Amino acid sequence: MSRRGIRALEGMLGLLGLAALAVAPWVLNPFQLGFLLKIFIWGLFAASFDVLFGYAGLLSLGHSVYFGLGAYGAAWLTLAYGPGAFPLALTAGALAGGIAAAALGALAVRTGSHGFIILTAVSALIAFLGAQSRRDLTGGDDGLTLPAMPLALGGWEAGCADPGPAYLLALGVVVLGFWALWRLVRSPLGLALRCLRENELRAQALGYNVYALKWLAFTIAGLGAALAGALYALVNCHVSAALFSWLVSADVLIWTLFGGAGTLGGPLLGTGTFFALRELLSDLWPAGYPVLVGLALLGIARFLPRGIVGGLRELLNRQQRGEAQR
Amino acid sequence: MTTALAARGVRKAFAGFRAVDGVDLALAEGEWVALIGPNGAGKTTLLNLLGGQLRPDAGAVYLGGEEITHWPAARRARAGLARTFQVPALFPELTVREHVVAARLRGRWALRFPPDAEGVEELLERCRLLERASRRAGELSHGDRRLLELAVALALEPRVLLLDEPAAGLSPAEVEGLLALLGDLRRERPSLAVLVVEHDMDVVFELADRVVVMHRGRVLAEGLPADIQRDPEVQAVYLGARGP
Repeated sequence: MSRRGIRALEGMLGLLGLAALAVAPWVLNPFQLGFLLKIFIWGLFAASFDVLFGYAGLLSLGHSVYFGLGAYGAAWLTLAYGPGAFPLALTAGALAGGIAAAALGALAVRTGSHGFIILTAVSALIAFLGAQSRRDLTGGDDGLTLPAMPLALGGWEAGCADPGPAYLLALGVVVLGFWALWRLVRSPLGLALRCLRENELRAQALGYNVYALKWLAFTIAGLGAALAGALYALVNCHVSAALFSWLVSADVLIWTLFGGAGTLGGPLLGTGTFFALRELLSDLWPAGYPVLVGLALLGIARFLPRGIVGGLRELLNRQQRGEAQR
Repeated sequence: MTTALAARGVRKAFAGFRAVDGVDLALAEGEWVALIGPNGAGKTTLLNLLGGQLRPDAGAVYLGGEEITHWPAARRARAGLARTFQVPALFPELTVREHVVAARLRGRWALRFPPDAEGVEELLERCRLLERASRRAGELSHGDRRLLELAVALALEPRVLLLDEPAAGLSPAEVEGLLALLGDLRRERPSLAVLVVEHDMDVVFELADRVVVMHRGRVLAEGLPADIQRDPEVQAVYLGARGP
């Protein structure tokens, strides 16, 4: 199959998938719908991380900071102005994370690769401990509970247990966020980020300002993570200090590697596969399912080192080369 | 004649070792200069000082009369100073075409690609890489990587080009192809100034209008290729038995 054919097929599958997802509220029960929502929101978070890690080659262990800031930004706005202000809460949450990423990014991108990892990990630790200690603001480990967004579809009202119409809003936001990231990685900026990932010195010799590029990637990734965090708060109706934990940053790294770093769609798929696997295995062996999930991860690392999407692309490339040689 | 690139009293030491020790060098517009010398003479260090990969401890570098000593490599590239590397320094996961497109953007970002695909195809064809345009750089042969290095440098549309051992590791047929390519370039871009570091004396004497010989971080001699070939001091330190 030609490259254009593969793209057309991918596009068609994407549209079909989107149509199927749009009718999901009428087909799935509230638990299944909530499960899908979780995948979308964390998938958007993973896609934003992929811009930084998979495209720009910067390994951050503090991406949870921006998810947490987005979530708390939206939560505080909702508690202050009521659930009707959800568009403002969503925007403010995303901007809070984006601005914080722009500020920390200006410092972080000046460090070397090891310094960058340490600095971002420390930022997650500080944010987590800070959120735990300021219970008056964050609710600490217990967190803050929010009212559901006042959304209705026909007679169907959105609730925290039964998202219903909120699902459609979240789907729209995730699709828009994902589309924006996709446009970005396909643009000259995306190409520049890949140059940076592959060979920083060479990228400089081509005229690229690598610090500006890294900062931009950090800020955009932070903005994307914060948008996902704000959406999480509004749909989940609850936020807690645990959202800042570096474990959340480790999770997003695993999902991204699982699906395929540097593919954008891979991290979304990785998140979905990981969540589904966890759900399935926890039913099979409730006490030991983390071991099974770990083994599945080892299998991916061993047999698909580029992740699911990266591995499939590699396979298609090899097939194409084989056809071209014949 | 206008000076395209100049170094004045440039010095660079590493842990007390003077790799480049007060070098003066100037390239006129359209001039092709070969920089030769034994291993460890400081040729690549000098190229790194000119290209902005290293900052000199002392001295100054000028591009078209403007001092660029403290400019980072990226700014020098945008100003028209392109270079190739001794060991091909490419982006292994990017395709050949993506390399040339990325270079043509010259550090500019936008959300849309400029519509100059024809220029990219033309350059790939000229560098004999069009057939492999969709291949990843990591999958190319050594000879093709050298060609891609050159294509990337040319895509920057430079006014000064620094070539670091462009013929290293190439077969005689590939060297012939490279010389033909550089010959075409010279005809088509008469104002382009080129500084080439090279060990292959056939390449040096074929390409260069002038030869500069470095030894222990200093300029030992410079002159016309024929004069350099006859210079007994140069023969003693570098050409040795291979001399005329």
